[in-house]
Amino acid sequence: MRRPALAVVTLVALAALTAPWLAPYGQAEGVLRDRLLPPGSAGHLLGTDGQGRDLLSRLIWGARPSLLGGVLPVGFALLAGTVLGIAAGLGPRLLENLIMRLLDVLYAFPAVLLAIAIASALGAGPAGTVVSLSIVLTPAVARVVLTEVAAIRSADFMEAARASGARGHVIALRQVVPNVLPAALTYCTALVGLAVVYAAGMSFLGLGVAPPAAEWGSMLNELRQYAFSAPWVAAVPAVVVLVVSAAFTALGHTGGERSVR
Amino acid sequence: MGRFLMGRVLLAVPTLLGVSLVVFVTVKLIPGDPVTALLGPSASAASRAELTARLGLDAPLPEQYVRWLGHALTGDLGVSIARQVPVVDVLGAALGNTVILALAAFVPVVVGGALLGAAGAAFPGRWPGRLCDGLATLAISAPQYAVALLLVAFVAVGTGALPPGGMYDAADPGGPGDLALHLVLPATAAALVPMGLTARMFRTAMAGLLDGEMVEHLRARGLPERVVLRHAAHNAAPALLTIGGLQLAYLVEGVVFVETIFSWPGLGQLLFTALSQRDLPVIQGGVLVVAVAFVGINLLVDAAHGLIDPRVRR
Repeated sequence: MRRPALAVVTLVALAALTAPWLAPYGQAEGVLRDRLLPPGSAGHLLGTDGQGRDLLSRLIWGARPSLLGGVLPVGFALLAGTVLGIAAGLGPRLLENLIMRLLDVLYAFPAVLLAIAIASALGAGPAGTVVSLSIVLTPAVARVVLTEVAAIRSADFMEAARASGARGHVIALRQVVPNVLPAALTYCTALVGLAVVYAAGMSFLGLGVAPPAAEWGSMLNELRQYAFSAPWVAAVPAVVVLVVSAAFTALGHTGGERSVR
Repeated sequence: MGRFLMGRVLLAVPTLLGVSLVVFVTVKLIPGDPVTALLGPSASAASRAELTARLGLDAPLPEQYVRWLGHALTGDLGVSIARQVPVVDVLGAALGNTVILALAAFVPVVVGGALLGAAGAAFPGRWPGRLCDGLATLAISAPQYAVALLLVAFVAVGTGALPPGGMYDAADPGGPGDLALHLVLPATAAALVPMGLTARMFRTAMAGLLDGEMVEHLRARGLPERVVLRHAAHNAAPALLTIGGLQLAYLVEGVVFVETIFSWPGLGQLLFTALSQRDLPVIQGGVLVVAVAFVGINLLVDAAHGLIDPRVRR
């Protein structure tokens, strides 16, 4: 399962990087006469949408915002979660309680619902989606980091560092970060697939990337209306999201890690 | 046991207070002024001021929060700005429809999850086990909106056997049978992810048992493998309760997409409409109700787990 999954993810990443050269057409380039061509038509491998735009090209162009929409929030959550987790693990008891209570409150919401509420408060657009998803993903990362910090808190090398007179932030950066980063990174890698799915879902609801720019979620939303007249065309982005999501899950592969809670 | 339960309930109180604060602040941040939304941009200053005072929007924020929370605790969530009816009524009807959808989806979550998980644990490395593991992985990674769209395009439109949306047939509403027909596709779309997660967790629970001393003892007594499996499944059943209960929460999450695509008149669709109408009281009430339900479900699952397994009560 892992090799085909890796191939899919690599292919999508390459498509995102080389979209301007790889895509046969521009992302907003359409010929109305050629609208809603089925997949397999001459010159349009995956068919065209309601405005005659080439679906394959739009999927390739769309790989960029779709992947970034998942990777950026995970990156920010890694940063914020590591800072919060280390602060909670090394700081005074009161700070730990305060941070953990705050994270518990965020945990109490269904992730998608909280993301929708925050994104709509910040205004539609890619930035709002990235910020809201970062907030939703942070508590889980912070918990992983805190567990790791708690495990090494009273290790000998920590005692030695403290005895040598190193100050708090030096210990945090030199001793703690290198020790918690592997676990946090592993966890975050597994989160990317979920974040990509969430980000596309937000765009699907009209909260992320706005048309005419191509993005998988907004493509799904645009093509939804053709489910009755041209089901094959409407199915194309759905199948792509499904396959990419499955590939990420197969790569992440470590059970409960899929859960944000 | 009583102390364990009390402790859990008390722990939930600060969480719920925090939840209400987050909901209040988030909704206050939403751009767009409800007064302008109601009266239009050309309203006179006097009528604007009058409505602002009537909606209580002129008070300082902490006062607005305390007043809102007080009303919420007594079951008064205000009046929907867009519909001019009490939010509680709007939410109540929608919540009922969402519960129907979630319960319908809960059946395949538990049954399918248990079967896939048990098969994965019973035949590790052999083709039936690998097939079931693969199916579970596929289900976990099936985004509700993509599945829902494919179901509409190929099952509802393609075969015409099942309706593509709504709760009842508008021309010929036919009671429970009609409702069941309309439930099949949305419930399937909502069930896949939680079913896959249930399968994975139940598989872990079963695998742990099958490797343990109890099963070794049963096998040593010469019992046929079928009976051994039945004993193991019996012992893993309590885990299924906890796992399934947690998935109920995931179901609520997925219905936002599923309800939007299948025009199911539930909370998810209501929230989405309210967002586009800037109907603040409905958004506030809706998010609050879902979050409180979420905390409640977790509390119930915890309590049930404590009842069944004394080791959890520390």
